[in-house]
Amino acid sequence: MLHAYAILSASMSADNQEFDTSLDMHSRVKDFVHFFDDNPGDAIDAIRKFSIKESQTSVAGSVDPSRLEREIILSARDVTKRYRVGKQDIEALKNINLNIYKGEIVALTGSSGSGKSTLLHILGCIDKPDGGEVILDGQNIIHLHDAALSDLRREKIGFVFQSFYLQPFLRLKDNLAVPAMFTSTQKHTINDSVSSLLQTIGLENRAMHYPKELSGGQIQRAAIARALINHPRIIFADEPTGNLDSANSHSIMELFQSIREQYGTTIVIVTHDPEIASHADRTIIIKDGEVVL
Amino acid sequence: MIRPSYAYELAHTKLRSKRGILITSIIVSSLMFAALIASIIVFTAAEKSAVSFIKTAGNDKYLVQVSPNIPVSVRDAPSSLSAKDIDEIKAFEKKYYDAIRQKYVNAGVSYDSSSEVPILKPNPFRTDDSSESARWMVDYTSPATSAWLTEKLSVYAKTAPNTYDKLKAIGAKYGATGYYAQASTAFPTLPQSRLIEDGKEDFSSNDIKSSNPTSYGYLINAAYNSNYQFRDDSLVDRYLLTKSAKSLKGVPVIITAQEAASLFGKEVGIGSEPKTESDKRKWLKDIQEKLNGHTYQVCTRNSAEQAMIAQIQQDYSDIEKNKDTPSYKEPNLQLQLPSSACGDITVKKDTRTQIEKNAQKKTDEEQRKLGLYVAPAHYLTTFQIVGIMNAQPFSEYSTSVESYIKNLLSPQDDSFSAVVPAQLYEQLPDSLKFNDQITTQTDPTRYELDNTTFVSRVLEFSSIDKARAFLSNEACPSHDLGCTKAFYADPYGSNYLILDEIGKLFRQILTVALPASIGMALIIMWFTISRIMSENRKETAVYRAMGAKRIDITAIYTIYTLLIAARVSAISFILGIGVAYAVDRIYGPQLTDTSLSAFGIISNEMHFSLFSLSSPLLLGILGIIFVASIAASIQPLIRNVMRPPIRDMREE
Repeated sequence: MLHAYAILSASMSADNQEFDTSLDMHSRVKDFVHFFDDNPGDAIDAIRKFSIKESQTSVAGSVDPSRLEREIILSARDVTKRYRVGKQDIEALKNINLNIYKGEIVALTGSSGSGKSTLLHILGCIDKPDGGEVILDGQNIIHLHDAALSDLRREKIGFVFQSFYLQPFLRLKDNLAVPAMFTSTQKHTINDSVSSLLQTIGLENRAMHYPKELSGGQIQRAAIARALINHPRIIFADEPTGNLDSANSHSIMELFQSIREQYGTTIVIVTHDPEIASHADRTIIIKDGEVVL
Repeated sequence: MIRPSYAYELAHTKLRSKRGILITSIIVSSLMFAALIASIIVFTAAEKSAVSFIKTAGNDKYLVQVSPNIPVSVRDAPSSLSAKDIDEIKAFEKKYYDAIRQKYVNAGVSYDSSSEVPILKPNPFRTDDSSESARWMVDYTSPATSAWLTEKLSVYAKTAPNTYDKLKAIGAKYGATGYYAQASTAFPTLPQSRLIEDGKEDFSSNDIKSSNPTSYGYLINAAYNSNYQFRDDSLVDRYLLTKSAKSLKGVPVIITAQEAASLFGKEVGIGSEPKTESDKRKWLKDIQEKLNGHTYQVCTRNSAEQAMIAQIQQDYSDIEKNKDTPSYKEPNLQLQLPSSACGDITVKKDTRTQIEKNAQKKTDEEQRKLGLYVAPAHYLTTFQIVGIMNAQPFSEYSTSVESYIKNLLSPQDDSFSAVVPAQLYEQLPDSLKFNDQITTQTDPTRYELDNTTFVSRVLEFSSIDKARAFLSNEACPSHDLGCTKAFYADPYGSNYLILDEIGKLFRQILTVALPASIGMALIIMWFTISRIMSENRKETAVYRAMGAKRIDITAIYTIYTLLIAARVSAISFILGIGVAYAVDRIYGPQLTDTSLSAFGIISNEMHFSLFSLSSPLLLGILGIIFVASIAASIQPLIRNVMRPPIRDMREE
């Protein structure tokens, strides 16, 4: 076991510049796993415990690289997903392997139908792959039952949707509180968190407004704040700027940056917009269900 | 798991979404349940009120009027006479007239066989080809025929299953607690009498005074026609205004308000019968107050005096008719009508010869010897009104729903007479009672059969079920012409049996209407909740993405369903109670007036209410609304909760 850890460390350290996005990583991990053919459980344990700590030398965005520690928060290993459309099986995801590091902003891009949203749902624990594994914060989610997955989502994950999904008949402050209502948090604690988040997104003066009284940008900011209410470790944003103009889109991406800086939250954004993707630390391109870059 | 307060908050918010479909569903469901609730409230109250009136009217007892079903072959001559019948009739006839002849012989009076009226007379429709038996028919004017029919009844009585003794034995099996007399045959009837009005007897008409038989019939002229019945006090208790005989100045009598107003209204300032029930109730009360204790007199003249009056009237008529006829010879004995009320008939002119006078004297003497002589006599009787009953028109039920209800609530005692309360009468001093001579019976055998052996009685039961059991097992309804049971019987005093049947019918309808309403509500609620849940799938998926467990979603939708049920309940009850209250306000007073006047009850305490919240079914309905709502939500909820959120997220 220690031997395997050493090999993996060495391998990754030696090739750290292409470590996270290249197909090499895919093949290397496969090689690594093959090394444990006789005892695959050991391999998985090794991956769970694996932690790379090194300075990032080539990431996109404005984050001070020196502040980021390359701690994997989320891994996908050989993730596949198939759909049956009519009589045809469509392979939406093909042996996806990737790592998401703590505190980074990652853009998943690709053309429509490439599988990026499917991957986001699997990574976000609201869908399960047909093959492979997803390890979130050291926990393999594949065999978790529905309630445990719910706990995981509630405690560690936040979601931002293209269509916002704010409750139209709840005031802004109440909308932000919704995810916290599924926890045992006291009402006054929720209210405190909501106030703080409203300040963060600059909508404290809109607390009593209904969503219809807000602009699209304001609504999406509120939706982002809602995703933060339970202090998630990672936020998944599915086309968060899809319904916004460029100014608002820019503002939303700045908000993500700010959140990452303020809370250290990892953010995974699905977008087909290169401009939005350019705000990310790095970009993972999905094409026909495979990571191509 | 989500806190109930949070689940409530989210569920409550959902009520504001899909408002159109939600409000429509709530209204439709509420209307259905409201109709059901209103029906239950109104019917429960109506049933309670009707029972209350029935109990008051019947002294909390259920009465059945019973009369023996005597076969036609016993009561009457055969419709088609056989040779054997003819032989038997002729044998009886011979025996009958032989006995009379012997009576004459014993009295030393010569017997004139030509005065005999045979039982059989030639059938006017006979032909030459007719058989011997078809050539004859019974002559009911013959005294021998009456004797023959009495004889048949006497023979039948020896083995009859429907004598009064048998009735008591059968009634006891069903728990009958009283056997009241109500028929005129149970007590002596008064011979023809005349009402003394304005201090005079009206001899101008010997006909009974009738009225339109489709309205009130003879009932409202009973006192005028001297048609009286004795009845046990308990049967007429609700009409009695005076229950003590101490202050009575005459024979106690209960007459109809209509006749009281007609005969004595002018004296006390009472007008004719008003049209509306409300006015009628006041009118009835007015009569009861003003005419309670009012007295009137009748003059009863025996058959000899009746014959004399008829002769006087005939003579007056003949003399008047022939006053210009020289050959006409006036009767040599002319009597004249009494000059004062219930006065003596006097001789106006007597030009008979001594021979004629002797012949008359001899005839009278012979009649005395035979025991047939009736000396002229008349008796003045004073009646005192002790009760007022309200006559019900016969055909009112056919005119409107209101009149049908009135008919339903009306007393069922088929009386055509003024009523003398028997026990009150018995307490009178002899001086105020009917003269013994008035009630003398000419045929003691027949009287015994009619008044002791085959007597009509009103049986008293303590419950409807006992009365019903007796009615269905031991008797036929009086309208059943093909009855083979020993008795005829009908509910008496009120339509309690019909009302009870209506109650049962309503409950039967409810057993269908209730599940039907529940089914409909279930479908509507299912449709609503299912549709709303279906349209909220994405929202559910978003909740799930936020970490909501299935149980959290279940809690939210269960509370949501309960909130809908609470609204349906509130609206249903408000509407149902409101409608029932309105019905009560509109029809209650009218039915109170109708019932009070129909039952003849003088009380401001009694009301016919159409509003009662006492039915346990109402609580049942409340429970059903909630249970139906929850039941309706189960399937869509399971479908919604078990559905993986990704299916709805993917549509994003």
